[in-house]
Formats: sequence, structure tokens, C-alpha cells
Amino acid sequence: MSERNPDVIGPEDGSFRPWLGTRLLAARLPLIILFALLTAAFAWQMTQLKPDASFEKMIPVSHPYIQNFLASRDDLKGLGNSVRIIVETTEGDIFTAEFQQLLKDMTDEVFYINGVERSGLKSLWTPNVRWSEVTEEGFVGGAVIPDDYDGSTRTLETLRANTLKSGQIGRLVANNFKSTIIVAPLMETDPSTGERLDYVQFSRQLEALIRDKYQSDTVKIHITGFAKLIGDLIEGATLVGIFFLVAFTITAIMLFAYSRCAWLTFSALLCSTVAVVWQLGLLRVMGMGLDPYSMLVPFLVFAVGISHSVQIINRFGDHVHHGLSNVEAARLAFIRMSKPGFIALLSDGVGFMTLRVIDIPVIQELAVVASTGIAVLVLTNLVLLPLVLSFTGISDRCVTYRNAKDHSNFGHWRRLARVTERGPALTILAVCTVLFAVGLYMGQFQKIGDLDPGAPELQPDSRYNRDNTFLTDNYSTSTDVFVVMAYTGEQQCCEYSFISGVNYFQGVMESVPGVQSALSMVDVSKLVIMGMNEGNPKWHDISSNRYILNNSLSRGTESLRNTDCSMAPVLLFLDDHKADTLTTVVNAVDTFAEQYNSDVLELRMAAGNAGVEAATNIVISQSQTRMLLWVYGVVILLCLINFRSVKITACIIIPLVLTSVLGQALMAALGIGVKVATLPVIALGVGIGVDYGIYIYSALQDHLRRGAPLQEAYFGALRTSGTAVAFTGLTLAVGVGTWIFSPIKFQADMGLMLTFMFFWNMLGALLFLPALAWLLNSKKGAQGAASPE
Amino acid sequence: MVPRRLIALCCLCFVVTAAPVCAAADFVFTPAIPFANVASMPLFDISRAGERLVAVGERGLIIVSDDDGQNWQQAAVPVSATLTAVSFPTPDKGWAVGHAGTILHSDDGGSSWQLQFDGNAVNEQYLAFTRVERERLQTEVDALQQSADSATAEASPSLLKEMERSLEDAVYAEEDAEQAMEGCPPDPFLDVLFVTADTGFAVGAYGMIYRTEDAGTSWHAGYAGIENIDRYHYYSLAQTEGGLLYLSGEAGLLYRSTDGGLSWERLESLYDGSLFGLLTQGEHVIAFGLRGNIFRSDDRGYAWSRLDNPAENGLYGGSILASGDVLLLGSGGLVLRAPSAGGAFRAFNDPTRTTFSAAIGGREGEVLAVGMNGVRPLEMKELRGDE
Repeated sequence: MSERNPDVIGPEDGSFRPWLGTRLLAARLPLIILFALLTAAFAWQMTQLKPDASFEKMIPVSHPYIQNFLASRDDLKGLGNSVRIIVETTEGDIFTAEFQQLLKDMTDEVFYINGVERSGLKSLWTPNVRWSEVTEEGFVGGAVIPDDYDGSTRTLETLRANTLKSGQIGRLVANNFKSTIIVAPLMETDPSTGERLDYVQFSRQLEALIRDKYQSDTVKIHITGFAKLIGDLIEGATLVGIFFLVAFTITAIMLFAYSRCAWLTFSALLCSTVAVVWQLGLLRVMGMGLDPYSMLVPFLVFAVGISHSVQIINRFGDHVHHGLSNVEAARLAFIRMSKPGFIALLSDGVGFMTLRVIDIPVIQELAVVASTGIAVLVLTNLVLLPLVLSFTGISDRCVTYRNAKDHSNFGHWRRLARVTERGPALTILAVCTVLFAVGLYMGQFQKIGDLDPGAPELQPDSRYNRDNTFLTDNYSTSTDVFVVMAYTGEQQCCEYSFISGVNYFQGVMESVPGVQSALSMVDVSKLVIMGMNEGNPKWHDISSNRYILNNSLSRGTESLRNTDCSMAPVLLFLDDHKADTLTTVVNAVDTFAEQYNSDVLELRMAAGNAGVEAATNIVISQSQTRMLLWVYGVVILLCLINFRSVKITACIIIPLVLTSVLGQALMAALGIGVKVATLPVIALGVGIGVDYGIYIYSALQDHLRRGAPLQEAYFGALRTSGTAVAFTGLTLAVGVGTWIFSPIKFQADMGLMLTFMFFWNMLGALLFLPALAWLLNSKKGAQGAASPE
Repeated sequence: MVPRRLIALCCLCFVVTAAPVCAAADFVFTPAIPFANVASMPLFDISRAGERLVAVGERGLIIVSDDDGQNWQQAAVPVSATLTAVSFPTPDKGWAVGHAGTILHSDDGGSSWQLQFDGNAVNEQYLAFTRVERERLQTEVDALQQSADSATAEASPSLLKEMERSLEDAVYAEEDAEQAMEGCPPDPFLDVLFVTADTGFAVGAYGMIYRTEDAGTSWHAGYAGIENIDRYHYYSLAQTEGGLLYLSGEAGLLYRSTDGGLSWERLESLYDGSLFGLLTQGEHVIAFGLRGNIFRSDDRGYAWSRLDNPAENGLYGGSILASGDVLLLGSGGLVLRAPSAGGAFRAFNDPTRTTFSAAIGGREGEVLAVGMNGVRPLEMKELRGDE
């Protein structure tokens, strides 16, 4: 064994930490009361915390496309925020008396839901849905529901005929006549109270008043729209609470299995939970809500807290086991563990802070929130935990278990330590080289952006996405909309030169692969001119005649231009929102704009869900490399400062790089794109992953310094830190692993990726790191092997 | 010093010959964009060039098929104007017309096209016509006034009044025509018919009627040979086996020409609404249009009878099939078919409910319709139910 007694303070402990430890333990009771009071205060704050899903936070607000979009946001409102309630019959078609009665009742019901802009409500039963026909005298028309409607076969036939003449097939009525839509535009703010629309409340009302009330064996209800999506998202996010409980329970069981001591388990759980309470309370104090991204942070804080607690209770248990008093053991545990703990937490926190280089508010907030959580851990787990332990102590059974463990020969660690022998080390290095190659090759296929159809935030088979699929399958519409804003001078949007340019632009865009169709006020003009010419399709075109053109644009274009007639949005309906499709569209628009932008017509990107996603993709692909450089730069610097050795830094960093490379390959293999949710994962993985390396190498270095050969030194390191590292890897993986079952797609993706990275980082630290150490210390290693044991 | 008159003359030259101030027309006269799904874009007319099928439509789209509509290729077209009609008098030579007064010509069966005539030329010729007309009326009015002044017995004040009113109209017409020169050419041709490889007609909006006898090398305004003071649109041209020409249009316009299209006589008004199409079968002629109105004449256009039609949709196009059956198509996917022997039309609605504009018989009795949703092979089971 070593010459120095681990239970006595030595010169390497310095003077500050023993002093601080003594002071802290002397004031342990008042301090614990202070912690309790603060925890109560933060707990109260935490209960005030509201789920929050702000659209603006998830987009790169300083990207020029988004700036353009936000600048024209008010003008684009008309395109907007509406909910579609699709009523489907499974028997026959919609032209039956029973179905129409139901549709009428539902329309009335929707009319009275708070937040619905009533004048814009649209269904077969609202007077704004009309049919029209050209006769010798001009246009005739009326509401699609006949004035004398009484549910009789005759009036139902009239209704069917009117519907056909209304041009609503594929829009309000499905192509197969088996379903119809109630379109409810929403008001963002309540005009009477000025309050913002509560999406969760609205979404619940839709469920209760519409879906639950009217759905039956023969009638199916499908609901889509941004409000419903946000509602579902927040509802889904609250399930996270259950995941937390599951993670908590699994961690508790693992902790107990590891320590066999109820008190140690209790103390570790208590302090980590306190950290979560503080972190959530601070969130509220900082004026933030809990958005679906920052919900990750409590899990991380809890898991990181547990992993550091393990180090401390491990050390505390050792001291007690060696016969020290609880207070003395707690003091020593604090003195010994506060330095590496602090450095590890610092590297986590700084790692998280590098996320701020990504220009997306939600990620920048995540960086701040996670760093705060890490800072909290310094207090709760490095300070509070030893204080709590000094009271709780350790049970006798636990001491017995430790005794038994101490006297085993650590066969598994001895076997593992052989990775520092030439043969196994070379094998591991070869395997890792192959993994590097495979990872780099697979990583090329990594895609930017969301890859699944429908709302990418939710699982592809979620009810919302199934409803959305129903909509796109049965109606002539796409939900992936890329909006280009066409600008001209004030009051110039009805000029032929502008309209003609927009018309040509639409033609060019319709020829671009991935673009299904384009829509703007130009299409209204064409339809009206065709209508003015008795519906003859040969007239389906714009006119350079000023009077005809103005007349054709005078009505029905309000939502397709701004109020001072200087901008007309062009809606491009896309096949999907895959990055390749978006890139093609962006390039096509750029090419057109370069060639044709002028005083008369200036195209600016981009709005619509696909436009925003295009901008997000651009920012993400630019940020990915930058973020990796930053996070690696920071951890490399920390390692260099801590170890003052390039070799050691290489031993710690190279396994992390392997994990990052494999992580990218996994994303490519599983079809997970790099997006707002998965981009931070790599930084989090590296930031936390570096802990293992630091712990293992610190211990290894300790033994090497005392002159032990590499294999012996590594065995010693494993004996003291190996278990803790393995356990930390598992707790972290479990903590975020429960997320894989989240109904929210990006949370599931984050959970999967983090679990993978935490687990591989642990393997890398236990296997790859010593093999690298053998390689880089081969001279020393050779000497060690040559010397007789 | 340059004489003032010369400057004025130059300015005049500039106004008359240089392209009008119309930057946006660049887009109309930009080559057609190559599209991917050419057969599902809006198409408005279809014709045969020998065995080949040629269809024309929106944004200068011309597509050809050598396998009866299975596969389509887009032809090279120098304009992006929406095209409304196509005519192939021989397998190689064909013409297509459309918006902005464009007339296109192909020498290779529709594979490539050249611009022969456009709306700027229309504007010039129309201005020249209104000018001549105004001058003619001016001379007549002057003469009448002179005779009125000399107080000869024949002078009729009412005739003078009437002539003066006509002159006033002619002045307005000339002013309109001058104004039109300043803008982009707005008006579409709506039909084209070549009766030989050299002689053809293009007709369209606001009474546009042009004629060529040299395969389109030169196109001449035919305004003088037809009376259409209100400048209603012309929609359709047809020729009978005997060489009679018919022309139909807006507000029940119907004309017949017995001299190869030099002059047109107005036929008795059958109907107030538009007659969008004409079909001929031997010497028989069928005119059809708004609200499902169908008329037929079996005596060179003197007497017409209204045919019964079960639907009231506007009818925009039609075809006489190889079997002699009459096929008419219109809005909301309506297809009407009457047996060659005569007899009632049977109606059915294509499930797409798309508006059709024209149709042509394909192989084995198949029919290809074109319209807002592109080429659509028609399921004719319903209409052949009694066969």
C-alpha cells in the first residue's frame, strides 16, 4: 500500500480546503437550516413555473431570413394561425342529413370556443362558403347550404351540387367526399382582455368540446394546426414529470445496490433533488419558463449530482470504514473531493456555456440554465452533502459490506487492467481505429434538419401527425410551406410589371423539384379574370390591362398582400421539409433573385414553417463545426491546465472524439438529423464525458508518480475510481435514457443520443484511455513490463 | 442644325417602331421554363400533327407525344405566354396562339417553335386600322357637311348626326389604340385554324382577327371584313368539308364566310351567351357554349335547333370522334357524348371535377381530355353504357 495514510490530512491537501472544511462542519447545523430555508423558497418559486413553448425562441432570430420574416410578421398574419377540424364519416359520404346536422352543431360549438376569430370561421355551414356560377347575366351564387335546407333528399342533392360549384373540393371538402373541414382562424390575443391565447387551454377545449363529444363509431375527428401542435407539445412535455420519477427510482435502486447503505443513498438523492429544486426555482427567478428543451436540464443536473455524490459517499464510506467519526469522515471527504469535483463541474459548466455560440435563443437559454444548474451543484453536492452525511453517518450493514468488498481481490478490475498490456492494448487500438473509420464514413451521411413528415416535434405516429397525414392524403394541400416575400414600391403591388414578375417567379419555382405548387395573389387574379370571362379556362392568366388587373385583385387578396400594397407573399407548397429539398428551394430563389431583383420586384426569404426551418438548418450547419471547435477547445485547455501534459490530454480527448464521431454515425444510421434538439447533445456529451477521463487519469497519475508500472497503476486507479466511473456512466445514461419514451420526438432523440454518448464515454475512459496510455507511454510501459513483478 | 421636323419625325419613328415601354413583357417573351410534370400542368388545346399529339397550355408550355399520350416531352418554345390553341394543317407545319397576341410556328411537327407575331404587332396593326377608319369617316363627314352647307336637297341631317357619332367613336377607338401602344400587349388569341399549309386565321379577345396566306410570314388584320363594333371576343373557328368557314364568339356572336375568310356575315342571333366552340361534321355544324347551350345546323347555318343537354355547365371544348360520336366537355369535369346517328347527349362527371378545355380521340376509342389539371384519359364506360 501507499506510504501516506489516507485518513490524515497531508501537505498535498493545501491549507485552504482543510480550513474551509473545518469551518463548514463547525457551523453544520445553522448551514443545514439555511439550506432548508433556501430550498423551501426555491420550491415555492418552482411551483410558479409555467410550461412555455415560444415559437420565436426555437428559431435563429438573427439570421437574415428570420429578420425578414419578423419584419413582415404582421403582414403575414393573414396566412396564419388557424385550426382545422376534419370531420370524417366512415359510412357513405358527407351528404346525409345526420352528418350535416352533426357538422352544423360542431360549427356552432367551435364558434363559441374562446380564441376563435368568429368572422373567419369556415365550414359548409357558415355563410362565407359560397358557390358561384356564370350565367348570361353575370355571376350568380349563394351559400352552399340551400335556403330551404330541411335534410330532405332533394335539398341534400342541391347541397351536393352547390358544393361542387363552390370550388371547395380538396380544400373544405375531401377529394373523396368522405370528410369535410371546419377552419377556425385564431386570435393571438383576446381583444377584450388583451391576454395572449393560452394554447394548452385552447387545445384542451378542442379535445373536450369537439373530439370527445362528437367522435363516434361512424364519425372520426382529426384536428391540426399550430395551436393544437403547441398544446400537444406542452401536454406531452408534462409527461416528463413521470420520466423524472422513473429516473429517480432507478437511480435510487442502483445507488442502494452500489452502496448497500440506506443513509448514503438517501443523502445522495436528497442533495441531488435539492439541486434540481434550486435550479428550477432559479429558472423562475430569472423570469424564464420551462420549455421543452430546458426540461432536459433537471435530468442532467440530477444525474451529474448523483455521479458526484457517488464520489463523495464513496470517500466518506472509506473513511468511516477506516474507523473515523462521521464528522471527521465528512470533513476529509469534503477536503479530498472538493477539488476534483470542482474542476469536473467547472468543465461541465464551461462545456455547456460553449453552446452559447449557437445563434438560437432556446439553445443559448439551455446553456445558461444548464450552467446555473451546475453552479448549484457545487453548493448542494460538494458542500451540503458532506454536512448531511455528518449527521446521517453510515449503517453497520454497510460497513460489513464494505469490509467484504475490500477483502475481495477485485478480479474484474485486475482483468480489465490487462488492457495496458501490449496484446490487448493493440487489439483495442485496432478496434478503435476501425470504429473511427466506420464512424467517419457513416458520419458523411448525417443529415441536417428534420427528416420525418408532419410536425417534426412530435413522434411520427403521434395522433397529431396521424391527423396531419389524413389531411394531406385527402385534401389538395401540403403542410410544408415555404413563403417568399415579394416586395415592390408602396401601392405598387397591383402593377403589371410586379404581378408579371411574381407570376414568372411562380412558374420557375413550380419547375423546381420538391415544389408541388405555388400560390400568391397572382392566382386570385387569374381565377377572377377567368371568372370575368365566363369561366373559360383559356382566360386563366394575368392581364397587362391596368383596369382588368386592378379589378381582378380588388377582392379576396387581403391575406395575400400587406396593407400598403408593397409586399405579396408567395407560398411554395413543398413535398417535405427535408434539408435537401429546402436547400434546392433556397438556391432556386437565390438564383432567381440574383437575376431579376430590381426596383419593381425584390424577393426576400423566408417565412412559413419550411422557410423558418431552412434558416434554422443554415444556422445549424454553420454552428456545428464552430460549436465542436469551442467545446473541444475548452476541454483541451482545461485538461492542459490540470495535467500540464499534452500526452495526458491526448489520452483523455481522443476517446471523446471517438464517441462524437460514433454519435454522428449513429444519427446517420437512425435517421436523426442535426437540429435544434440534437446539436447541443454533442457539446453536453463532451462536457460531461471529460469527467470520466479526468477522474481515471488523476488516479492513474497518482499511482504512476509513486513509480508503479502502468498496469499496476491502472489497477490501482480502477480500484479507487473505476467503480465510481462505471456507476457514474450508468446513472447518467439512466437519467436521460427515460427520455427515449417521450412522446415528443426531439426529446426522445436527445435522450437516445445522450444515453449513447454517456455510455460510450464511460467505455472510452475505461478501455480506450488506458490503451492510449500504453501507446504514449510505451517506453515506460516496456520498462514496466520488463521489470520483474 | 437639325431641322425641327426631322426631330419630330425621329420621335415618331421611335414611338412607332421601338418596343413599347413594357419591361415586364420580358417575362412573357422569356423562353418557356422547362417543367418536370408537363402532363399535369394546365393545358388548353390538343391537336394531331400526323400521328403525333401536340398540346398547348399555361406559361408557354407545348408538349408532344409520339405514343398516343403515354409519354410527353416538352418542346422548345421562345415565350412564356399562356397558349390557348394549336392547329396543324400538315404533320410538320403547325401554329399555336395565345396570350400577349403571340403566334408561334413549328416546321418540325411541334418539336421546336418560333415566334411569328405578337401583341405589339397587333397593337400597331390595330392602330393603323383605327386611323384609316377615322380618316375615312372624317372624309365622309366632311363631305356630308359640305353638302349640308351647300344646302342641296339630298342632304340628310340625321345621316350626318349618325356619321358624326361614328366618327366620334372612331376617334375614341384611335385614342385607345394609341394608348395601347404604350403598355404591354394584353389580349390573347383564343383560336387558330389553318385551312391549308399556307392559309390560316387567328382570332381572339376584343375582336382580334388576323389572316395569313403565306404560312405566317406576314399576318394581316381582318377587322375590315367583319362587323363587331362592341369588340366582343372571338372564341372558335371551324371549316366544313365544303369549305364554309364559321366563327363564334362572346354574346352569341356567330359568323359565316363563303369567300375563304375575307369577309364574314353575321348569322341570326341564336343566343345571348357566349359560344365557346364549334364542331363540324360534313356540312353539319354544332355551336356550344355557356350554361350547356348546344345548337346545330344542318343547312349551312341558316336554320339552327337547340339540342337537349342534361347538364348546365359551361362547355368549353369538344371533338368529333372517329366513330362520328360528338363529344363536348366543360366545367366541373363534365363530359357529354352523343352518338353519331344523332340522339340525346349522355352526361357524366369525371371524378377529378377539373374543368376541361379540349379533347381528342386516341387509339382504340380512347379519349384524351385536356384542362386545368393537364392531360386526362377519359373513362368512357358510363357514356358507352348502351354499346
